[in-house]
Amino acid sequence: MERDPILSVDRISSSYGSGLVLEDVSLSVKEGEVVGLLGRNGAGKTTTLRSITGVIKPLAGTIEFDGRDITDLPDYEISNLGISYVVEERAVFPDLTVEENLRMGGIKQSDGIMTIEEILEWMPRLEERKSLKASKLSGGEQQMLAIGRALRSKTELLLLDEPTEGLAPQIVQDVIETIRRIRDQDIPILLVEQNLNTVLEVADRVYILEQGRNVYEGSVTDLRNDDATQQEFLGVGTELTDKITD
Amino acid sequence: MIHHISLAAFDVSTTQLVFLLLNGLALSMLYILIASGFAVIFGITDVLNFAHGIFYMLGAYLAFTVVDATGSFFVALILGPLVVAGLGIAVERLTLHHIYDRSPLYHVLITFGVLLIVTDVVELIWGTGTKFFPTPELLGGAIAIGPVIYPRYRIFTIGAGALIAFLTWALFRYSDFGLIVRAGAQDKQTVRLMGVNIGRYYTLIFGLGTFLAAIAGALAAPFLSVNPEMGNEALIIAFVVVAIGGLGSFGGSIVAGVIVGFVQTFTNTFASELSGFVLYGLLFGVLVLKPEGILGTYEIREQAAKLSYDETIKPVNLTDRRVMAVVGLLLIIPFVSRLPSVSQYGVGLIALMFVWGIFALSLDTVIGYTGLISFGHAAFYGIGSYAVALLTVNFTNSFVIALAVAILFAAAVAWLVGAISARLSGLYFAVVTFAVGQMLYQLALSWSSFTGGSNGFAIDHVMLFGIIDLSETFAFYYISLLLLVSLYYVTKRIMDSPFGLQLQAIRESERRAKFVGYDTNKAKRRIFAISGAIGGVAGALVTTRQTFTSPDSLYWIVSGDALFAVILGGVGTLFGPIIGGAVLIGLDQLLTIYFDQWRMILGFVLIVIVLFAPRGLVSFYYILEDALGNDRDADPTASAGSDADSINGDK
Repeated sequence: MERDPILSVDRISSSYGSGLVLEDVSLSVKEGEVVGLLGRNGAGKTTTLRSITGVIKPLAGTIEFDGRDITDLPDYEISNLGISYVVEERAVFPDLTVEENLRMGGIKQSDGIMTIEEILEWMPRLEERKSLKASKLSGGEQQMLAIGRALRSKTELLLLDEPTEGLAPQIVQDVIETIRRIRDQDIPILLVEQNLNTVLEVADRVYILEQGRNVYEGSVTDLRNDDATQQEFLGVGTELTDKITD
Repeated sequence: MIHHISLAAFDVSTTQLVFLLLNGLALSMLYILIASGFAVIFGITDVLNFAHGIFYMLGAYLAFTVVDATGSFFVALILGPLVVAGLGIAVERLTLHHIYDRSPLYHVLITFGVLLIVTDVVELIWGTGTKFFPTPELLGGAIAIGPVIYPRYRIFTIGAGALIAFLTWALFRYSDFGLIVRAGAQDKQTVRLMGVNIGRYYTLIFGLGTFLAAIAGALAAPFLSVNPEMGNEALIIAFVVVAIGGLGSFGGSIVAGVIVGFVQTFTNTFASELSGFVLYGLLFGVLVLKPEGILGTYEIREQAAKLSYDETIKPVNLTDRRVMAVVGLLLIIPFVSRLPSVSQYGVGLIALMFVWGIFALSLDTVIGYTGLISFGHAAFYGIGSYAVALLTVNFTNSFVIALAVAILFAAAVAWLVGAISARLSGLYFAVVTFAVGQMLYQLALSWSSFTGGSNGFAIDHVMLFGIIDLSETFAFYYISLLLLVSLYYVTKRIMDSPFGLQLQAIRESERRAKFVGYDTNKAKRRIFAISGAIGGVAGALVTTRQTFTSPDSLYWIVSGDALFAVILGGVGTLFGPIIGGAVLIGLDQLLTIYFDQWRMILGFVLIVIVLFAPRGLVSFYYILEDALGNDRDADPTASAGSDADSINGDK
């Protein structure tokens, strides 16, 4: 069961200009694996994803993808290597149509894992709205579009930042279903979440960050039974109530 | 006037109407080409390209030269614009490309620098006279369209303009290139995450925009005159059309291009005295009713890119020994310099430097302290100038009264401008202030019974307390110095007050300042009125000295120079801009003795300052002080973004 890591983050420290947001954070994602990255607001989860994708450059540490050091590569080159990143704010292009948004996903990478037709078949609500501007979609539809767009591009690793945040429970289930289907295609996923249940449902392994540092690492099974850790690092109970975003 | 128009309107025959419609169409096509290039560049890169008119002009001159050399208009129509596009690409690569993460103010200044340089280069190569551009033989003569005999070349212009506009539209609508740049205009970071090196597309877009400007220039050459003024005219048109249509909206520039083209054609025919003014009236109306333009969308973007001011450089106190020494020196200079002819000139020049110091100081309160990019401060300078002039001619030559009236009028107009544009920020603010400035310029030009028209008018000597003649060098020197020092004192007090801190909060983040509970619009109106009043003082002083005023004092180049002065000295430091204004006008007056094309040199200086020393001349002093070993906590050479060291230091 021991597989090679496709992504290795080794003791990175990152900052937005004043004070460290990440300090010596390490994690890895292996082939075919879904890894959850948990933590409270401001723990550094999004910053970890932004460091991996080159949106910000870590001040120290190294990031390897597929055996290659990508720490100093510009963000667009990292994308071209096959890391697809669905950001927290969804970031669909509001004035482009659904179809154009999907076209953008594969604009530089013709070797995406799905064609536009396949994505639309998979997400029938988008098929109905493909000529609409993305800004006309609901939050859940925008989230599906953002994921679909990521799949249009070369994806050897998918990074998802809080894909279920702010969505109605029914739609959350749709998104989780989508993540499962992606996992079933053997695409490794690094899933950032505040919602512990989502992670418990789909992930294999889990990391928890607190104040920019690693504080927990283990399998989903371990975490499920570890009430003390849940209590200490993730708040009260299994459902996180602290939903204030900065 | 209205009487006259309505009479003429009844007289229009069908023939004349068709002729006018065709003329309107030809002009519209030209405007669409000019404006769409400008809109494309702004829409994608957020750069308000003040060099756009210059590229248009260069397109016309190059076409002229190529026709001269090859005899072929069609070669010229392609070759000229390609060369200009290459130049545009070079400009983008060498300058703008490296500073997209900075405040848009710097982009504006870079293009202003390019404008200064290219204007003079064109004068050096082609001279200042108007060039005759023959209509291409193939397109000469006229053809009959219904009842109208219409020049064939204009028909060609209409067709070529429509074709180019259509091709550009199709490029954006259907190609991968178009998709990428449209997406990039909405969210650059996400486009990069799709694997696109968006920077390369910025360069190409700049090339495309300048290509469109140049091809418009080449097309216009045969039926408009080719002269050094055409660049400014095109820039104004681009500005007006794009602001009416919606900043950065390609569709908007087409709609507005047609509106402006037809409005201009008809006002030129039926009310030519009003033509300039109608244009700005139209623009002003749109901006008041729908500031984002007809098809534009206005989103308040929290400006991530800040001005490069150094918080370690604070305005110095008047009681600071260095300041006292400088002021003391300035007080005795007129006595020390004994040589009559030299001293008269030198003392007069220094006095003028004081005045420009005041003017730049007024702009710094708005730009440096509130973060509002005003590109229309010439308005207040000009109002001050005209207030003194009109008062002196019509009522009294008392300086105290004239100055009070100048301050009052400038402040009132500035307050109004602030009220209209308070809800805008960033470059939208720059566009509105630019429009107001140009409207007043047109008003001064058009209302000649009141303002003396384009020649302006001379006035009597203005007297202080009825005994001191202020057109006299020494008296003027001291009154200017007195006003400069006291205005510096007043503005410094304002900026140290709670109101000043509120302004700086707006500069840092207007959104947050609002959350804290500040009425930010009120603060903006107030600081704009204060700034306008100080600008009015500068204008009043210049007219007092020169006993003369003209619309030149309202021209937008004056606003550009004021911005230049603020950046040159050091934005957001109050005393820096005073130095900048003094140095700029000093260079101006001295260089102009030796070269006709001295503004080219200023253009280079401006670009170098923006690229390499964006915190201006005052930062040199501190860099020097550091080099001499003085202990200072912060390193003033560290620019925003490269503070990795200080973070490691925190650990």
